[in-house]
Amino acid sequence: MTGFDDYEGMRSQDDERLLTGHPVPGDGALVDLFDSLRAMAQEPAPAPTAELAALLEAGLPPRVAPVPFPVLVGRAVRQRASAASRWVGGLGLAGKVVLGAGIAMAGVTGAATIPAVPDVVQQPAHTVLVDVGRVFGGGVEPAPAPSSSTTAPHRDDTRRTGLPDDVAGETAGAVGDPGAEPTTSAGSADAKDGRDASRPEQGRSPAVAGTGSPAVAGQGTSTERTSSGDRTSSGDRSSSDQAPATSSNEWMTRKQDAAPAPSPEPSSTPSPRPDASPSPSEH
Amino acid sequence: MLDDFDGVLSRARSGAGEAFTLLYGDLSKPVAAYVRAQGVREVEDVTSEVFLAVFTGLSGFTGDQAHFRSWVFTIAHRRVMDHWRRSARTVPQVPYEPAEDDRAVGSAEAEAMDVLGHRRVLALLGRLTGEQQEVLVLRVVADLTVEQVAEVVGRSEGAVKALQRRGLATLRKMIETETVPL
Repeated sequence: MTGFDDYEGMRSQDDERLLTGHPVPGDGALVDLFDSLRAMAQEPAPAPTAELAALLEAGLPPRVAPVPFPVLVGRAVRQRASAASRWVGGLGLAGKVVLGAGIAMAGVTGAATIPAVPDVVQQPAHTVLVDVGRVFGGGVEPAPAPSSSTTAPHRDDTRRTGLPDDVAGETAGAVGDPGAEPTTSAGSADAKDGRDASRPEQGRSPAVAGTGSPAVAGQGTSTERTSSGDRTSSGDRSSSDQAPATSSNEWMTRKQDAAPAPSPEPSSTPSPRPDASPSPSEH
Repeated sequence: MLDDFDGVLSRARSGAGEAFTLLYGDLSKPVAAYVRAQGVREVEDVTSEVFLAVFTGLSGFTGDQAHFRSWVFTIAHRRVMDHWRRSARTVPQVPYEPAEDDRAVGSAEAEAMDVLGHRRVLALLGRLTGEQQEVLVLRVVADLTVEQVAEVVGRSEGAVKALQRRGLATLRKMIETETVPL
């Protein structure tokens, strides 16, 4: 070790003492300089900007920890998406048109039939579906959409008898309803009407009245709603079809009466529900 | 220095405003002094930018209080560099004139003495190279070690020591030749 190294070592130690605020003999002016510099760090901090002040005041909303997705999952999804896009890109023009139409039809059908879809969306979708079905299917009506307005009496009937509508229609007399018609079966009554050539839409729509399932009654009331919606567009329905039914039994009864000879006269058969609202033709 | 730094940091990570206030109170003065010593006129804006970046980037920090201090000054160093780049692109730089800086409020005498002392200090430091000045300011104002300064400026410890030694030698020469009391 040379004298120069000793000098450098001592100098380094002095520098370190100087910079850490310790007095160093012979460097008084430099010590004062660094004291002044150090005093700058004790001055009041500048006022924070508005953005920082808001952050100091309110803090930050807690962060949601990112969910660790496996890289392979994202990669597989991307690969599938790119494969699907390649497949679509490989289709011809007609194929793309058919694919697009199919997707659109599936969307409209879903919007018209899924119960979770709100009525505001469901009504126009259902109308479109009916129109399209009439154009391409020769008048075949799709399954009507469930609606809260039409299912209310359905629920009411069920509550009254404790059974679904069709069963309620069968057992209405047994339950003791004085106005109930002792109908044996709504499905069998409709089966007679279903053979009537004067009412092709009923004959071709077994889902409406020919199945006799509990869902049929509700669909029947919805069909009435659809028919009333069709009045503005086609107007080719009979007045008995246009009358809104208050229950499935009444609807069935009115159909029985109206099928042989459509008439604006109300059915002579008493309604199974005394509190049922009259049809517009009665006014 | 904060007594319960880990607790404060944990609360700050969860976004607690009071923890931000504690961290800001602990480090805002040295950060502002560092920014001011670098000749930045918009001390308030740049200091606030630094702490905004600190508070919003806390999730990326791991370490103890010493590491946090050097991390904050690393952000401050980069913000000052950004500020100079922006200034070079937009408006001509104006040298810092503490007498014209009316943002601080204090007694007239003390302020006059402080202003003179600070002006002198800043004038002497301004005659060093930028790297020497930065190393000395970080050592004295930010109270960082050689290792921490090396982290902040992105140089090796040997380079920092060399810059520090040459800067001090230059200051000694200037003081000896001028012999002006501070």
